[in-house]
Amino acid sequence: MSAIDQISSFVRFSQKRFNIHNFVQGLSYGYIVFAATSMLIAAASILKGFKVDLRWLIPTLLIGMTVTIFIYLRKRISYHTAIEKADRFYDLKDGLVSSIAFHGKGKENGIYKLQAADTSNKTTQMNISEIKIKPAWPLVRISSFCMIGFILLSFLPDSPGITAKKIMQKETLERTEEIKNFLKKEIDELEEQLDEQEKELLAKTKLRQMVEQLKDTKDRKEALRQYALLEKRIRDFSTRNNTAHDEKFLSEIARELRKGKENPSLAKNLAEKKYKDAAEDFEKLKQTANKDLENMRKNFTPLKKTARRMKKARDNSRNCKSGFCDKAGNACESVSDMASALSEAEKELSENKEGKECYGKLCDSVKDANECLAGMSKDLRDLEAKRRFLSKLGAMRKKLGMCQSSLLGQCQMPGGLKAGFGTDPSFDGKPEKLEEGYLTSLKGQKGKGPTQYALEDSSKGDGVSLLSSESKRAEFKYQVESFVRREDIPETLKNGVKTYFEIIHEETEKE
Amino acid sequence: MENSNKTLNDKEAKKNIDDFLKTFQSLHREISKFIVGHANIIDDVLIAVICEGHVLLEGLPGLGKTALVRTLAQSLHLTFRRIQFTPDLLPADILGTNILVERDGEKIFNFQQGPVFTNVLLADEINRATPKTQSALLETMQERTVTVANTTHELKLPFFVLATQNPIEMDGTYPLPEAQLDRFFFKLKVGMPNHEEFGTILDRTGGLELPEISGVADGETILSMGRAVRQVPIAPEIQNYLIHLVRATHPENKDSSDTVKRYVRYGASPRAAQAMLASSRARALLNGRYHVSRDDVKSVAAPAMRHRIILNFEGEAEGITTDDVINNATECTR
Repeated sequence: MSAIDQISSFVRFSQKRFNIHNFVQGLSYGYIVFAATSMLIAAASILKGFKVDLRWLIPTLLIGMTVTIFIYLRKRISYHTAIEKADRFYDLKDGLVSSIAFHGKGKENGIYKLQAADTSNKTTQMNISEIKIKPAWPLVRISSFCMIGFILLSFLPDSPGITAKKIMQKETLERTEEIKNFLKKEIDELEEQLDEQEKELLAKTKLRQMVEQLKDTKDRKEALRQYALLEKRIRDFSTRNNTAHDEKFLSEIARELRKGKENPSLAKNLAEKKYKDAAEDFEKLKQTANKDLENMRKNFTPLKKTARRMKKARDNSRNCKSGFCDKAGNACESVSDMASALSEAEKELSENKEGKECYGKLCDSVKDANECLAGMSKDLRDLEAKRRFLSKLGAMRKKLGMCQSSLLGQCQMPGGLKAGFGTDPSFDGKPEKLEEGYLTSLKGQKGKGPTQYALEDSSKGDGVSLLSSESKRAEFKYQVESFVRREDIPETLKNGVKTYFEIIHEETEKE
Repeated sequence: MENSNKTLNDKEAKKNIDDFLKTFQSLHREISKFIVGHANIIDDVLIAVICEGHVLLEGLPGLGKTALVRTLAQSLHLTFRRIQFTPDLLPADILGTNILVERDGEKIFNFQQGPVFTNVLLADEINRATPKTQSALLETMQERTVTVANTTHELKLPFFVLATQNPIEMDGTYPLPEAQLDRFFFKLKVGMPNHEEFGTILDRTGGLELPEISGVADGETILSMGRAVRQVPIAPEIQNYLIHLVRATHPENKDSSDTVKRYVRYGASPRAAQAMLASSRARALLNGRYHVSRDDVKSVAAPAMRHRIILNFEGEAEGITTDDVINNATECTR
């Protein structure tokens, strides 16, 4: 090996050694960054009340490795730098620099040869391992302390507050899943119970899509916000399809009809809101045009009187917003036209005229009147369907409210097993009979107990309460009597309350 | 020793260098017979002589400056003249003058050589002469010639001036002008000997016999040693370092230190760099190397530059020395 080759080889070995040392130094810096960052994160977690999450070690380790690589790249020395560094390290008095520079210029004879040989000779006496590969021990020690601190901190549990919060988040997530599934199931069940008209209404609500869009979340506020939004949409739908005006107007018709005796069935059905039956009653009022005018007038009389009552009810209901107002008006006009046509026909016949023209008119008016009646029948059936659906939707909304309450831990989840589906393992699984029994029981209560509509709000303040005054009055009476019976109320106060309600009763009776 | 300027092969170079070292050590040993201590001063004087440079020795009276020069001349087998500089000394007293002589019945001017026509000239207390007389040495120091009445007379080589001056006594003295100072290769400060050296001085000079100095080299040997020194190579990195170091003494250089910018009026001249290069080559050989290192450059920075740097008023007022400036520049230069 020539002198310059020996020198180059020596420099390369030195460069490698220096670079390994630099990498180890970089590793020390990376280690302290890793340890210090981990420690800081651990301390911050503990201060915030959280248990130290060991997954933080991954990003901090990555940061540490990045720092190591960055420092190594910064400190890594080139061959040229290694020449000078090795020169200084081995105290070769610029021998390496000079030799390589002279070699680079092609000066290799005479004194240059002596110089190269001298430097080469010196390098052979040098020990490469004198370049120590050692980490920055102070940094390593500090880093190790930090890591010990991190490990110790990682044993600390969550604070009670955080533990509770996590449990709550877990519960919220579970509850939101449960509620979503529950709502889906409820919609499925609801759909099964609905007829075609109601299914159309259900489709308009887009309830299923909304429920599908509900997200499972850990955030209770977010969950409540979702349910509130869903409830608002249901409420908006209910408000848009409110039947209170129609029902009020139909009640007014029923009140007017009750004054007469001509159609008690219709009056009763309208008063009791049996609109499907009322629709059939309206169907019964349809007329048939024939030449037997006497018989026709006889059949026409109930319709005429009913129309008159309806007209009066319409006159009584000023500012009526119900669609039935116009329909009732149209029906009345048709009936009036029919009455006129009938009178004209009778007059013609009494004058022994053939009355073909009049009969034709009569037929037309009968047809118009029948169409109006049919229209009213249809609307009543629709109203009946809408009422049923809104009632079910209201129940659904209530359940949604209960779901919200259950999310807040204020009540149990609504639902549970249907009647007869208890948790008794010995149950032989014959729900049909029991369900029938349940339905029978429901039928027995229908219309007698307080209706669920009692809890429905009117969004704009112009709604009409459907709560019967009798039931409310009975409730107040019970409350007052229980208040009066209380022993801790002074006697004078009890007497005052008694007197107040007696006066009210007296005035009510006078009215 | 080889005499030619051709590139030598490694064996010839090695022989030249060995001869150089042998002669240098002999000279040093010989001078040290009489001069006690001051090993660095002796080395520096010898380096300056080998590099054909002039030396300004500064020190208090009685420290052996003149003795050193005299001993050097004796050990070199060279002609030696001494001029005691005084205020009334004239240039002609140094250089020589034309005198009217009668030859073959005809009166002609004949040039009478002055004491400058020698190999080693000791200019004792050079700062006591007037600037006019001091300036008489300018041509001789740089060109090694003397011009009188439009006739130029060449001096015999080797020729070097070894001047002394007293740094304390300033009354009746004339500080050397910058141009004159710049012609000195080195300015050496001769310090006080220590206790042991004092004892040795007394032992050697207090008896009946003085140490006998024999000549170990002649003028040709000195010139040959100079050629041996000049073949020592310097790497571009080291030469750059040398240039940076010299430039670092200049206040107008943006890389100069704050100390230099604050206290220096003029930095070292290119002659300083030449002197440093030549002397650092010699230093490299003396240190057993065949190349110049940064340490060699550093070691000659002070003697080569201290008389070439001019401090400003603030530097003078604050007691800053040129050696302080050089140390600062050396620390700041990489």
